[in-house]
Parts: sequence; structure tokens; C-alpha cells
Amino acid sequence: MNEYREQTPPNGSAAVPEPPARPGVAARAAQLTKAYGEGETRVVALDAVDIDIPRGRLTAIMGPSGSGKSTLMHCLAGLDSVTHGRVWIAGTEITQLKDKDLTKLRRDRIGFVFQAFNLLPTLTALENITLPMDIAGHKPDPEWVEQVVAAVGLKDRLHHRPAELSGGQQQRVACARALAARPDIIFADEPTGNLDSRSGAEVLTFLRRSVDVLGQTVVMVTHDPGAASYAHHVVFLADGRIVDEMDAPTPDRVLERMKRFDAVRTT
Amino acid sequence: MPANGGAARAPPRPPPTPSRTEPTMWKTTLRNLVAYRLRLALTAVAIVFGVAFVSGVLTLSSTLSKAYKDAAATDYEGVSVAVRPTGDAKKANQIPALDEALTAKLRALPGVASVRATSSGFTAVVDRDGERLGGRRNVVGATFSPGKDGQDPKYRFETGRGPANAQEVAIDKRVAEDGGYKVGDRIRVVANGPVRDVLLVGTFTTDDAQYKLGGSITLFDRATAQQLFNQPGRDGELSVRTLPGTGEEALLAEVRPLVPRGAEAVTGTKLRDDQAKDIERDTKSLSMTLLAFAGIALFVGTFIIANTFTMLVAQRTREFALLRAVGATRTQVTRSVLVEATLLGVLSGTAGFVLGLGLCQGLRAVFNAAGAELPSGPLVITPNAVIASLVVGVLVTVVAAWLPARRAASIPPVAALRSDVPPTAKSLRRRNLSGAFMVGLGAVICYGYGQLKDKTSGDVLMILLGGAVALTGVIMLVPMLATPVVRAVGLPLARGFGISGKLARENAVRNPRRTAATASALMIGLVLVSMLSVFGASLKQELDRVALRGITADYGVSLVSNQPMDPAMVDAVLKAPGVQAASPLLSTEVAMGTGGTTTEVTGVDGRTGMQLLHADFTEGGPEGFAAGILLDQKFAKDHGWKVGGTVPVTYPDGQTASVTVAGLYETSLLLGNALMPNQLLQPHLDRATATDVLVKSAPGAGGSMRDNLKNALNRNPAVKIMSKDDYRKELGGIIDLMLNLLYALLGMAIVIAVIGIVNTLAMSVFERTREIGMLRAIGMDRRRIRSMIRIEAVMISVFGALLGTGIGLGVGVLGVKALKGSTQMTPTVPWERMGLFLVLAALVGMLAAAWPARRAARMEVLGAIKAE
Repeated sequence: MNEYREQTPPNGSAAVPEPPARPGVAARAAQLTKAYGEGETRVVALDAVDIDIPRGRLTAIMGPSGSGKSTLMHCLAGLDSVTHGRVWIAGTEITQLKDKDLTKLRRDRIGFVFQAFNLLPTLTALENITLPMDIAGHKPDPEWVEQVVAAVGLKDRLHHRPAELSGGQQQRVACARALAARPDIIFADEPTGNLDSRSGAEVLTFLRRSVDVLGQTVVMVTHDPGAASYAHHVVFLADGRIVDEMDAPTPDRVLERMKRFDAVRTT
Repeated sequence: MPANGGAARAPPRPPPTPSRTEPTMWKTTLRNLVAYRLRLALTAVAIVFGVAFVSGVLTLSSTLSKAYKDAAATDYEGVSVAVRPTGDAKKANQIPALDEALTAKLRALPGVASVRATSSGFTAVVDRDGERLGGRRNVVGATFSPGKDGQDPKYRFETGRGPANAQEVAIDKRVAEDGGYKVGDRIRVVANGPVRDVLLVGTFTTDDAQYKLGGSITLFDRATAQQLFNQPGRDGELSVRTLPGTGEEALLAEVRPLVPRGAEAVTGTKLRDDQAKDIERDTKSLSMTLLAFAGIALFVGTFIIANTFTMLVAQRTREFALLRAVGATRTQVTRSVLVEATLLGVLSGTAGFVLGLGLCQGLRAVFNAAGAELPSGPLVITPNAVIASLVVGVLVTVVAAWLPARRAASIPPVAALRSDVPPTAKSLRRRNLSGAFMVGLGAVICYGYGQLKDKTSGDVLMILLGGAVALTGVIMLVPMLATPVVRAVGLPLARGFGISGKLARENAVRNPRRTAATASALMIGLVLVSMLSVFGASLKQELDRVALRGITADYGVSLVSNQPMDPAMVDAVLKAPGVQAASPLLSTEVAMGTGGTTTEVTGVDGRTGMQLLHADFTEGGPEGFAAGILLDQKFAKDHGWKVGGTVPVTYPDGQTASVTVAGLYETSLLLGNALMPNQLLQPHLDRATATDVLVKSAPGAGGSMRDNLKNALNRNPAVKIMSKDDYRKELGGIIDLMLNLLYALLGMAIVIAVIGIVNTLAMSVFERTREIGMLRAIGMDRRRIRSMIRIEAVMISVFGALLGTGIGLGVGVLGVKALKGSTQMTPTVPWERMGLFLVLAALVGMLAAAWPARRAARMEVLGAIKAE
């Protein structure tokens, strides 16, 4: 899937004064701070976070509730504004973009998988998958779509409405939709939060395969050590800061690390 | 969801008895009203408008009634007994002998103080440019009837005195000022005859109703008034005043034996009662008509309210489930929704009442713009109007909220625990079956009663009832039609607008019940509007046809007052240069046959008449008309009269004769049941009754004919000369005016329907918050979110409009056909107008979507995705 990587624009366009990212970085945040409220009620959700999301990898962001992991993802994906710092997606600084350009960027360069309510109930599975291209007004690449659909394993259910699919199937359709437009990066927000363990495993296997086989880049926010163990790389967040990282995680090692947060808290 | 579950958050007070939980339920209800204020406000608008209509109409009715009564209060003051022509005599153009002899006899009766002899009729003052002063109503002439002191108590002279002979008049102060006339001026006045050049001898003010309602009054001496408005020597009315101590009834008994044929004696009390009743009846019939339109608006409103409550209940499923889970009974849940509806009804009813006062003034303006000349006067607010507003507001809201409230109660407590409650779409089967049954039943009733001959008013009522049943059935079937029709209507839009169009089309058919309820509201208004348009167009076409075919005369000469013309004027027209044929048109009632039932008869000149009117003869012809009668063929057949046979007739003066039938003609709106030559009719009428003179111009005289006629009548400003085209335009104008008035009244129902579209869309947008958030997240821009909502609105409104115009058109065509027996009308469909309705419906949809679309587009992506 090297041809796909060549499609991305050259890094460090003229508008960006600071060289934003090393090659092989899909998204990057520098001194990213997100605070809510003013004065005494000020709450800092992210505190000067620096992070590089490597290309062609499945990165998991973990942390206890309130650690800022969802906020980090939303800021990286251009869904939320930042208080300080800068964010780049595939070499484009998004912290400066207007809503219109941001919408276009999300449409063309980012894929999303949410915890719930991912699909339009009025459209069939296939129509949901090709929705981003419909919105962009592009013709879907049939070969690629076929490849994605085959990978999701839903060939015989493509013309069903979401209401006729199981939760796991719906979430796989959502993953396929995120992939269908060949984005630079896919953000998945607790993609298995609403699923039973078997369906969750199906979805996570698929996400991992889309990285390994289809060469995509995926960032996943989760609080489930089992889900995190599907990632290549885990970033641990606590109180708005990156506190640890881990390569080649296993459920036990992740759980172990998470327990230490609890220990810190209880003491 | 904000501020929900008030019960759950209320401080945990241990309730000693179950009934003590009520205050908490109350709190929930009140907090809900506040929490959902925006959505409820939209619902309230629908109620407010409907109620405003009701309160506006009631206030208008009491205001007009008061104004008329105030104006008329003094008209019969002091009158004990009046002698006047009977209604029948007036219709038959008979003038009873209310003369000086009778006046003298009345004066001689014991207890009589005075007798006023009066006559009145149309009279206008002419201004210095030769035009009439004042409008068409209440522009009258009357008798100056002085007592022994030379004063007429009815008129208070500002300058000069009353008229003493035919060369003098007095006019009211207002018209004198309008015309710039002073005592001693020579002025011109015109009654139903030639212009009179007279000396102005006085100006006055009076309490006469016609003066107070803004008209003008010209006073003549008694002989002149008799000659102008009745016939020389005969008065129009004699009113008797008594000395103190004489009762009305006693006097009435004395007067009765003196009353001549064609007249009646009535007491002053009865006169005043009758007048009050007449005013009451007139304003009541106006307000009943208007209330019918208010009813339509409210009916449409119930759809909107029911829709809103259904959606509110659906959105609050979890909240109701929670209430049930913590122990609320079904009854309590139902009651909390109904109490919410009641409070909303009270608030909206109050607001509606206040808005209605403004609407009352608006209605006045609309009617005055349509030429109704309503009196001015302060608004009269009755307690009835206030009570009716509140009752209507509460009743409509509670009735509409009834089913949604029951639905809320049937939500199982377990729904509170589920995160995603799948909307349980109830099958439409039962609804469709009942709908189809009602359509069938309605059709059978309509057809059955439609086939009956000689329909009584009860039969007609049954036909209307059948129509209402069928329409209700159609409304029930609308959800079934929604999916296929909206898909079909939406196809071009979906194709033309890409993904926004496609999503809009899917959204529009997503909840057929909701789409149907929204579209039905618009449909009902448009059914009526299109039906009336078909009737109007058919009537206009028929009038055109009648005017073109039925009248062969070139001009009609009449008076602006539509009163009978002075014979001298008729003569002047007949002798005008360039006239080839002319005939006065008489109209009276004659009893025909043995039964003695009277029928309207048109009279024209026996020699020239049939050159001016055209009849399609089925038998016989105009040849024997000079000495015979022409009859409508259907009318003749019903009575068994044939050409060559004779018809026994009784003339208005009581004389009888046998008249030969000269011909039979096809039914015509213009000719009526019978045509008689004036030569036979005129001798039996007390006065000239020609309201129109028909004129055919000689070849070559066409261009100057109008001028010739004007000159022949000394350019009399009370005369109207109309060509065939003028007639068509005037009648067409009247039909258009009526249609526009009806459109304006139905407009309220349509405004409410539009509010319904706004409401449904706004709530749909709210329901689909997460969906819209997701679309925004994956790259749909604001513009396309906006157009998605707009296109959905256009699809829904065009759907409603298509159903409405379709049904209205069908009903209109069938209705016109059903009337065919009596009118010859053929159904005419004003296609351009129907097309215009559809285009307007689409625009209305766009307009209604403006605000919901903006809301949808402005949603914060992240907030929308996270929304519960």
C-alpha cells in the first residue's frame, strides 16, 4: 500500500513556519493545551501535550476516566478547538483552519468510528459505507470498496438497514465507512464500548487488519486493556499529561500499568 | 435531556400516603413546560392563531352589532304604531294606498298625537363635477314631514329650513360640506330618475341610522317624495305617535280595520324588536360563516398539536419510564401530560384572545377593502369571547394531546434502563383498513344521495356529511400514501441535489405518520382552496358563456342603486339615436298553474325582446312571443305544459288570465323559468319596475353608442351603462373578490399548517442531533446540512399540496357536475392556479425550513455527537 502513502501532500508546506512532523507521522500535537472555564472554575483537560501518531500503526490512547483521552482525540481530529498549542494532520496545521476548511479536511483526510450511533438508519450498509464519498462528490473506487467490504466480512448483508444488523456488524460497517475514503488517519472513540466481548473482538481484529493488511493509520481511545492490546503502541494519559508509553502491549501488561493509576489515586 | 426526571431529583421526603406524590408530579409537569419551552412555544403558536380567529370573530360580531344598534337606537323612538307595505306587496311591486285619506283617518283616532307620512329611497347629491357624492349604501332621500309647528322633530336644522315645494331640498350637514354647498345654492340631486335642479334651502343633522353609519340624506317635500319613491299621492310609511295614556295595543286594534290591501299595521315595540333581531341575525350569520373558517383553522391546529405531543412523548420515553420505575401509576403519567396540555391551552387561549382583538380590526379592514362599508366604532369585548377563547384553547389542546398522553402511559418502566429504545413502529394495517372503510362509506353516502331527484336540504346535508366521512378516511390513509408519493415527488430533488437530496428523501419517508400529520394540515387547507377555485372558475366560465350566448344586446342601462328606473328615463333610452332595438327588463313574481305557487318571471318587450336575448328553443320559437309566454323546457315538462297550450296565470294585482305557450327553451341561468312580453305584464304592475334597459345598437352606431345613451340621459350620474364586456368583467370581478376573501379566510388554516411544518422539522432536527453531528464529523458542510432540511420540508409540503389540490380538484369537478341539472355549468379546472398552489407550497416549505435548517447547520459537531 505504498502508493497510498505517496498520495499525501509533502510535509511542511510553506504556510507552516515550524517543520511539523517527521516523515511517517500521520498526526502530531505540540504543546496541546485544552482548558474549560475561567479563573477559579478553570479545569485543564490537556496540559501541554506533545504527541506524534506514527503512520501505518494502530495507536491506543488509554487512561482512567477524566484523564483527557477523549479530549486529546477530539482535538487531534479537529472536532474540538484547542486553548494553546498546535495540531497537524498529515502535514497540514489544523489549529488555524476555518470551519469550512476543517469540514473539508475531515471529509477528505480523516475517518471516524464512534462508540454509538455511527450509521444513518435510513441508508443501507453499503450506502453508509460510501456516504463520505457521496458527501465529497467523489466516485468510490470499486476495487478498494470491494477490498474493504471483503475485509469487514459483510458481503451478504450490504443491502440491509442498520436496524437489521447486530451491534458488532453495525460497528464493522462503521469501520468500513471510515476506511472507504482512504483517509490519512482514522480516529476510533471507544469503538467497542457498546459491544459484547465477541463482537468487540471482531471489530478490533478488523481495525488491526486494516493497519496490517490495508496499510491504514488508526488511533483508538479506549479504557479497556483487552482492546488496547490489539494496538501496536499504547499511550497512557493521566490528568491531561502523557505519563507512559508501551510497545507491543499485552492485556496483562496494560492492566498492570492501569492498576498503578488506581494505586496513585487511592493513596 | 435537560431538567427531566423532576421526580427523581426532588428532595427525598418520605411520603406518608401515596396521594402525597402529586405535588412532585406537578413539579415535573411545570418543569417540563419550562424545559421544553421552545418546542411548546411553536405548538402554542398554532393554538394561539386558531383561538385568535375565534375571539376576533366574536369580538367583530359584538362590535358590529353594537355599532348598528347604537346607530338605529333612535329610529323608531316614540312610534306607537306604523302602517307599512307587507313584504309580499314589496316583492310583487304593489304600492298600497297609504294616502292622505288614510292619514286623516289615523289623525282622527282617539289618543293620536301626530302622524308622520314618509317615503324614502335612493337619492344622491351631485357634486360640481357632475359626479355622485358618497358611496352606494345609505345614500337616501326622505320626506320632510313637519308637524303643526312647521318643524320635523327628526331633523335638527343648522341653517335654513325644510323644503316646502318640488323646487326645494334640504341636505345633511356632512354632504353639504363635502360638496361645498350653502343655503341658497342651486344644487343637483338624483333619485331613480332624471337629475333634478333644485334650490338648497337648509342643512341639518339627525340621529337617523343611515346618517350615523356614514350615509347622506336629502329631504324632499311630501308630494315630491311620494312621486319619487312611490307614486303620486301615496306614502311609503305612516307612523303614528300617541298622546300620553294611550297603549300601543289599543291603538293597533283601532288602526287595523283601516289598513288597505297590501299593507300591515305593527306596533312600535315590534318595529324595534324586529330591527334588533334583524341586526342580530345579520351579524350572527356573518359570525357563523367566519366561525366555520375558524373551525377549519382549529381542526388543522389539532393535527399540529397532536404531532408535537407525540414527538415530545417519544423524546421523553426514558423520562416517563423512569417515572414509572420509581412508582408513578399510568394514570399519573397520563395526567401529567394532560395537565401540561391544559396549562398550554390556558396560556395559548389567553394569548389568542388578545391577538384576536387585533385580528378583529384586521377582519374589518379586509371586509371594508372588499367593499362591505362596515360601521366604525370602539371594540366591544364580551365575557363570552373571553370564555370561548379559553375553552376552545384548552379543549383543542387536551383533545389533541389525548392519544399521545395514553401512549406516554403505556411506556414500560424497563425502557428507562435501555440505552437505545428502538422506536416501535406500529403497523398501519388497522389504520389503513378503517381509512379505506370510511372512504368507501363516504362515497356510498354521497353517491346514494346524489342519485336522488328533488333533493331536500336534509339530503344535501347527508351528501356533505358523506364528504366529511370520506375526507376523514383520506386523512387516515395519508400515512400509507406518504412513502410512495414522497419517494416519487422526491426523486427529481434527490437526483438534482446529490447527497442532501438523497438523505432528505429518506428522512421524509422515515416516519410516515409524522410526515402524514404534517402534510395533512396543509392538505386540508388546499382541498378547500382548490375546490373553491374550481367552483369559481366554472361559474365564471358559465357566466361568460351565458353573457356571450344569452345576451345579444350590446348595452344594458341601469341605475347605480339597482332600483327601478323612472319611466321617463326608459323612454329616453328607447328614443336615443343609433338604437336599433331596446327593451326594458321587468322582473316580478307571477303565480302559474292551479297550485298558486309563484315563480320569478322576466319581462321583455314582445316585439324587440327576442332580438336582445337569446334562447335555445327546443320547441316553438320567438314568433308567437308578442302575445304568448316562453317557458324553460324542464319547468314546462314538470307542469305538463306544451307549446300551443295555455297556462293559467295570476298577476300580482290579483287578476287572472290564460296565456298561450309560444315556445320552450333550454335551461339558462339568465332567462329563469319564464319569459313574458311586457305588453301582457305591465298593465298589472303598479309602477314601472324596469331595473335594466337592454339596447342593441344599429349597424354603424357601435362606436358612439355609449355616448349617445349618456347624452340621451343628460349624463345622469346615477346611471350605469354597461357593455356586455363590462357585465362579464363586473360579474367576474365579484367572483374573484369572493374567492380572494375566501382565500384570505382559509389563509389562517394554511399559516397554521406552515407552523406545523416548522414545528415538525425543528423537532426532527432535535431528534436527529447525533445523526447530524455524525454527518458533520465525516465531512458534510453546513450548507448541505441546511439544504438537506430544506429539501425535506419541500418534499413534505409538496406532498400535502399534491394531495390537497388533487382531492379539491376532484371534489370541485364532481360538485359542479352534481349541480348541472340546475345550472348548465361545466367543470372548469384552473390549471395555472393549481400549478401556482404547488409552486407556492414548495416556497412555503422552503420558508418553513429556514429556521430548523439554520439550527441544524449551526450545531456544534462535538456536542451533537455526544448528545444523548
